[in-house]
Amino acid sequence: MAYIDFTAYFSWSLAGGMAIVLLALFIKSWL
Amino acid sequence: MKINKKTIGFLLPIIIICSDLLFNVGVIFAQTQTPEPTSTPVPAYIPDVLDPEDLPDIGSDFTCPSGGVSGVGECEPASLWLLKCGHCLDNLAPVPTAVGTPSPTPDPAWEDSYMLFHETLSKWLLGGSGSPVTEPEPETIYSYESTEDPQDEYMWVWNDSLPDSYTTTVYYDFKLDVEGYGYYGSNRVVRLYVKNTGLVDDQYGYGNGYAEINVYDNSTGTLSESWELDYSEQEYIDLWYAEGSIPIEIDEQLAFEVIAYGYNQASLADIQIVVQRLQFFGDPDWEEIASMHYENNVYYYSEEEEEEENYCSSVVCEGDTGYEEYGFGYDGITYGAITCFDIGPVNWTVLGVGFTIPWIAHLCLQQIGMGDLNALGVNIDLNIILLTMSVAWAFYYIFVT
Repeated sequence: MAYIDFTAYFSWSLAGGMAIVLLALFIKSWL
Repeated sequence: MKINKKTIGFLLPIIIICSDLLFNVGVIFAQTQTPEPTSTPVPAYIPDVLDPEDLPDIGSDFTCPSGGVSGVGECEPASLWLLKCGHCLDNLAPVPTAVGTPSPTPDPAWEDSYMLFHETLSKWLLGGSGSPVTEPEPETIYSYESTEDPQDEYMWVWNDSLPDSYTTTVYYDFKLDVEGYGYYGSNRVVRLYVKNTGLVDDQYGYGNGYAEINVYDNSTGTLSESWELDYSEQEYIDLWYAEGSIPIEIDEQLAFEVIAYGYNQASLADIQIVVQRLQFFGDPDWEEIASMHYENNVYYYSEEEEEEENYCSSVVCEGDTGYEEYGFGYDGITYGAITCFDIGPVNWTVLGVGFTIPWIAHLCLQQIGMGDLNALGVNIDLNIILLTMSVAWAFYYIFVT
């Protein structure tokens, strides 16, 4: 049976940066 | 909850962060399952600082070689070489200085510059010496001249040797110039024997002899007959010898001229060229040969003093310096471990009833790093830069705007 075979690249720095940015957006929305 | 713009603006970051965290946690979890190799020693920390003692001794002479820098265009020059010797490449592609004029015909000066530019560009691209090799000016060291009337059909015109002191490349030119007048019809034959008795027992020496008999119509100055002797194929012999003949159609009172010349290139001094015979056949013989002129010149090219090679003599290729280059570079994205997980297949049995989820997906995550920027020997981790910029932007966004 066919299945999805997929390899994605993951960067800790990019994910961390995005998290920080989103966290800032989140905090700002509450202030 | 009322769905409006504000709600979306509040929920969307949370959803994204949660999904991101889920991924990250998954990766962390998977990584902890991987047994760490215990035998691999931790590599020692090597500071990325260039030790001056590792630099090659490039000397203090950075003058440009007169014959052009060798190796231009074959590789990318190293930064240090460009810094010290980049001025030696300035003359490779001169900028045309001719001012363009609105003329339908191209300016010859501009064309020359254009061609020179293309020539140098081609040399640059294809890899050449970079500058044309100029032949040194010949210097005459021996000259012989004689005028005598040939009384015999066997004429020893010249027989001499070079001084022994000249060991450089020698070009030997001889020219035999005979003028005469022929009477009584046609079908004379001029036969010329040229012999080189030099270079005996010298397997490396060679004589490139070349002789030519030209018969000119003196009244019109045009070349009427020509005949060549070529000795170039007779290399590596101690004697080259050639003969040949040419029929000359001489009408009454028509002038003729025989010119024979040749040269000999040798690395040894002992050269002997003999124009052995100059025969005129015909019946009757020439009644008069007005004059015979023979001149002989020896040219030698003194070997140029070999330039002392310095750091700028040849291009030092990048990566061939023996040390880490100071400069700017980017190592590229680094690829790390791959973590994979599957969705399905799952078999459940609840109260005797089986549920099956098929194998849906095989997903893998490969860690990548942004890599390092190298600037003048300093490595800048782009991952740190990215995080730092994110934090800075977050502070700016929260507290300033």
